[in-house]
Amino acid sequence: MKNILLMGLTDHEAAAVEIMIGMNWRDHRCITLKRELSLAIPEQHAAARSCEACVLDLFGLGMRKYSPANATRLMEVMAGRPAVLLTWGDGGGWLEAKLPLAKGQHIGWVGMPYTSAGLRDAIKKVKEAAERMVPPAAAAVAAAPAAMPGRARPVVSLDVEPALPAAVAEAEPAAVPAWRRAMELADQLKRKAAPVVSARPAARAAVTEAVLANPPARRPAAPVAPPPTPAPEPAPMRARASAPMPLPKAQASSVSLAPPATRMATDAVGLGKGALAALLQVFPLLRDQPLIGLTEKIIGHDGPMLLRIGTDAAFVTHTRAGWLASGLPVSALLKLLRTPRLVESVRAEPLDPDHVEETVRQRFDGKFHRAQKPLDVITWELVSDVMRDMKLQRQGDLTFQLRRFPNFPMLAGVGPLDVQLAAICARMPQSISELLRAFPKHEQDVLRFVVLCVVSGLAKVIPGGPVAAGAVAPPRAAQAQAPVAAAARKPEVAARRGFFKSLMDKLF
Amino acid sequence: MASIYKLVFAGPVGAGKTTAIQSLSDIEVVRTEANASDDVKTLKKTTTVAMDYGLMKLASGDQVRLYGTPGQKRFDFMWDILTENALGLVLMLRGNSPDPVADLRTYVTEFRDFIDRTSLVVGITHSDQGGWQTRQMVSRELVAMGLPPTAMDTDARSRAHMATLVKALIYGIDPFNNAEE
Repeated sequence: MKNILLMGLTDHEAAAVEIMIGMNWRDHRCITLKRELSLAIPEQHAAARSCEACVLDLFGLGMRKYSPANATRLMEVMAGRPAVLLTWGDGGGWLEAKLPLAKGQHIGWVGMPYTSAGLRDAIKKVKEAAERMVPPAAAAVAAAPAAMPGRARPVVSLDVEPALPAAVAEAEPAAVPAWRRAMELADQLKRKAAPVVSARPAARAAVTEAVLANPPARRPAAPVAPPPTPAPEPAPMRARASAPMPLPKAQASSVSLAPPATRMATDAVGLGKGALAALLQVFPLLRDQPLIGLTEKIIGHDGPMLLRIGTDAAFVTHTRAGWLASGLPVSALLKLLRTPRLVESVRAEPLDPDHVEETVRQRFDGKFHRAQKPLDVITWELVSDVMRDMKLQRQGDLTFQLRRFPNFPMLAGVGPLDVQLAAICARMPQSISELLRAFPKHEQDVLRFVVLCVVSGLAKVIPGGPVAAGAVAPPRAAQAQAPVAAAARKPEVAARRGFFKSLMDKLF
Repeated sequence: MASIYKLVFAGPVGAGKTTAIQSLSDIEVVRTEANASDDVKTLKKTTTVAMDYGLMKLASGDQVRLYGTPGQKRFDFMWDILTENALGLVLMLRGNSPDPVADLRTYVTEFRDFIDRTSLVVGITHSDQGGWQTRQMVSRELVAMGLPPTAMDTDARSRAHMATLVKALIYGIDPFNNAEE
């Protein structure tokens, strides 16, 4: 087991670095000396002094900026060991300084904020340097006195190289002192009795295992906080990893029961290109609704339009861009447009696209972007209201796929089936027939969902799909379900579906 | 036998991961936050450094553990740990960030293997400040990346909003759950 000393880091930063080291070098463990509030250099106990390499946050050690005195203190802390030094800002002058490094001592400078890869590479180099230096450096380090005020070793001349640590290393015997051997033996015995101690290996699964096994009531992340009672020696990665979720390995590799996502067909059409016409062909009675009539009129123009109601109220819509500009909040807008007579009286005037911004600003207190509201949400709400007491009757079929998910958190009156249908139709094209086959007890809910998605511009209609009356849709949903149904017969999948149901019950 | 499942929340600093977990959790979220003292200081007084932890207890006895990943890129090695055997990813994006689509790309790229094995849902916070277009742009980008456009505006403080996101995530994993054959 090799030790790396972490000093001057915040608790959480140290935890993260410890985990990183544990993930990458499982035979390494970290000794962490907490950052002092005063940013003073903490005293190194024997275990800290025995570390072969260090990761030091210079700011956390009160040495953000370079000075000869700080350089001396830093050299004492490192005591000839290779180190990753975390610097702040422009480096505080450290990068330009020439430190009197010991022979073979490697320093890796890493600027904050660093990347995982940057820090990992720096630690790797330092670790390799430490391995090359052992045993002389280790012996020197072990014999080095703790860095304490008043107990500082002789000041190293910054102008002389090689510097004192190397000289010390050469002068002092390489043999491990008896006291250190005794300490190591004690450490070994302690580890056998209680494998998890404050300096336990920060193995990758230490986080998952400790946290998963003991949901921390108020305790921070497990990596640095030693559990009050000894925990078992970390099990092999896979076994531990699979513990939280009782799934066989094969299942764990792919949790999803969904068929692969299908890319939107290139010939799929949106509202302005025939989707609304296809929808109205399947649901011809919708044409009787003033709002649908208005929608047809607006979409027929395909550009921005000014809509006037009476003498005062006016909106600007831009179907292709997907917004409606209004000085009213959405709730007031909805209230207004829910009055069929008002909707029938709307006068629509095409706007020159070059002047649309100017028109919007003129009408809505100089606002342009702030006046815009998402047209799909407003349309969904309005059409949903119109269809509330309507029994939808279809005369044919159409195939569609969602290009946007309905903005459910902002929509009223949506249920679990809406979310489920959206999840299906966002993943692959579906025909009305397929959806009805999958959810035969929810005919009106399915039809309502289809109408809302298409008329709100959330869905694109796929022309190749069945649109003629009486056409029979290919059983895509049923096909997709077949392997799913087969999979569902497996006990573990059935168990997971039981879990999903339980979760949904809690969420809805 | 009661089982334990995991959901992972990821996203840039200040996107609302901790709040989202708090909204869903049955316990007070264990927050491993520290004073931000680097480049994120301008965004937030504190930021998640190691991870957040919340818990949903189900009537069946099963548990869903909610993990928030560190927002800073330098802790990205934690992401692998937290996603191991998780059910799916709730990606929280700040609608008012300079480039939410770039944030989306970054996270989807980082988590792509995980997403392909599980499911992804995107919650866009602060959309009232960032403009309604963010959802459109994010949805378009998801489709361009070959993913279902499961993106919604959300308020991380709202349990109902967060529940909707999780529902969408679960149906993304098992779209035909409870469908009649």
